[in-house]
Amino acid sequence: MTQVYQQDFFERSAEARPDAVAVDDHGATLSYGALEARANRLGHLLRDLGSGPNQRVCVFTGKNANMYAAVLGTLKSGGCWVPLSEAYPQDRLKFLLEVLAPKALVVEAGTLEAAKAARDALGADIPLLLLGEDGQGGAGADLGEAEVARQSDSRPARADCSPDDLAYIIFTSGSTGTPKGVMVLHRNTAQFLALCPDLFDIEPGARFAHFSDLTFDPSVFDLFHCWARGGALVPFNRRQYRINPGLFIREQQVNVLFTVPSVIASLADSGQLGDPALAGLRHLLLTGEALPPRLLRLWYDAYPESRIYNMYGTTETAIISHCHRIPSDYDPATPVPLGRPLPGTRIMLLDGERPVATGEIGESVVYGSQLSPGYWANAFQTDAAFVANPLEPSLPQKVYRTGDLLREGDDGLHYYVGRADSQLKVRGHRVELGEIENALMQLDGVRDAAVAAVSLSGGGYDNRLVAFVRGDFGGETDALNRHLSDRLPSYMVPSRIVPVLEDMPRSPNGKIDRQALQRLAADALAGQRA
Amino acid sequence: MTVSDDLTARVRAVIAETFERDPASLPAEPDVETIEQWDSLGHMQLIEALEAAFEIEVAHGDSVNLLSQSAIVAHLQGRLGS
Repeated sequence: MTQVYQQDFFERSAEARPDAVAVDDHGATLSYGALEARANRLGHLLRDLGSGPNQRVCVFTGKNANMYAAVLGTLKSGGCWVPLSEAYPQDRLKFLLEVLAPKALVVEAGTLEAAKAARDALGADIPLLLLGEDGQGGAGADLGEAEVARQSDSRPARADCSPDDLAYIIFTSGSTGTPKGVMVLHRNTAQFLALCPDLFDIEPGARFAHFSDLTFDPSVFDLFHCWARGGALVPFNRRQYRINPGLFIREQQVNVLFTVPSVIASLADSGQLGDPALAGLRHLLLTGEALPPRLLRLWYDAYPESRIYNMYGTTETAIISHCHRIPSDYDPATPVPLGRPLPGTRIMLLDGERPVATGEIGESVVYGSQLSPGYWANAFQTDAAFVANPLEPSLPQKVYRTGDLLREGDDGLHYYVGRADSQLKVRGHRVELGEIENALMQLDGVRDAAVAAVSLSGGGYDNRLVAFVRGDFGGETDALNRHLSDRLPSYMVPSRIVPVLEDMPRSPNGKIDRQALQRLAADALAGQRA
Repeated sequence: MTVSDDLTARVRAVIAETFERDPASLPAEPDVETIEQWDSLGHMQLIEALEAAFEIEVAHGDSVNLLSQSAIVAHLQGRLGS
């Protein structure tokens, strides 16, 4: 059976191994058969609520079996899942509900209140479906477990959909001040998931960490490649694990972890590398931040039998466009390659509209089977980023200008150089500094705002944000901090806000001098730590 | 009050102050799962507060395991010899 739709990657294993463990949440296990039946029931209910091809269902739960059933149920209803994060403030939730107009909002006890507040503030008629034990009596939601239980366990008839329909939408930070919803089609995600067995050769039945929030697309790999391999999905959902990820790997016997390099840096800095209890982690996939060569060496010295992959991509290219297995004899004196584009993905390195020569730096411009069609309900941003092929403008296929600067080495491999704009990664999340600056500028009295990022290690994998603000707010930064916390996810709230009395540092042409700002930001953070 | 009880009371006071809680409102065994503010940033603040209160330095490798009141007390007993 060719796997065309995202749910196919689960359903094939559910048919082949219904009794195998699909989810292991700290010993509370759910078999493939049980998850399939629950997702089928949800699929029927969501379809009754109007879900179907290209209709949105918002999933607003923690990382647990409710989330997995909601994602699969949405797909089985023919619809498109959209994750909402518990880190989102109410304004962002309200904005997302407004632009998405979902057919349902799936919640659990911990998110019900925030969901209701956002929906009621919007005045929208979006049904709230409460899952989990608290969903038995409704508890203020429109629908609950009772309505789910009344549905059939049988798989819903496949909706009249096509691989060109939406599988999911993930929102990322936007430079204009509003988040952008990246639309990913079934054929985009199926193309990537179909490549995974050859890329990683992960043993069937392995224990995969569900590490990233569902709003960060490596989680698509976590869920669907895990299930495609008949593996057990292990949610990273306890606070103690955030402080000490080594505990998670040890206690939950994780074999596959797709994460950011700072997690591995934390293991190294806390002296945990070499612990034999971590040796079960055989596949380490790293993305989202620059990968420090010393970390590779430290890891391989401790665990020479494991495999490390450097992964690179954007949400617009369905998770990753490059994957490179780093050999265990890797020389840390050499830069870490991103590798070659995946089959089906084409990359041009351009300086403006001119291809650069081997060894020169160019912006990565992508097209191919994994490329998203654009941003949800945002033609302006779509048209700005998804453009005609500058080398062959007559071709109908659009290309995506990533804003990432790469270089092709003599070895034919691509190497990451940096960003062409002010986008960066904080704790693995994509952040546009402009979105934070816009949020600050909305506050009465703020005349000017600029944000800089500082990597404490210099390696780019542990960025901290510092905001510089000028205006009549009496130098009181607490109010500014509260204002940002109400509007932005927590990872976008700066570590430090510095009042500026006169003017921002500026270059001779009057633009904000970002380099000078970065130096000031480093000083501000150093002062805070002293 | 034993020396151990005294140490526990001092640790509870530091936890309460760091997370701006009334000491009486803390659970019997506060930990990262029971104190809402005890997230990764809160943990760093707590370790700094413990270092100041007990005039010690806590190595990063130790700090990531100090995830509950009892773990902190046991660590301090080892360090302070009480």
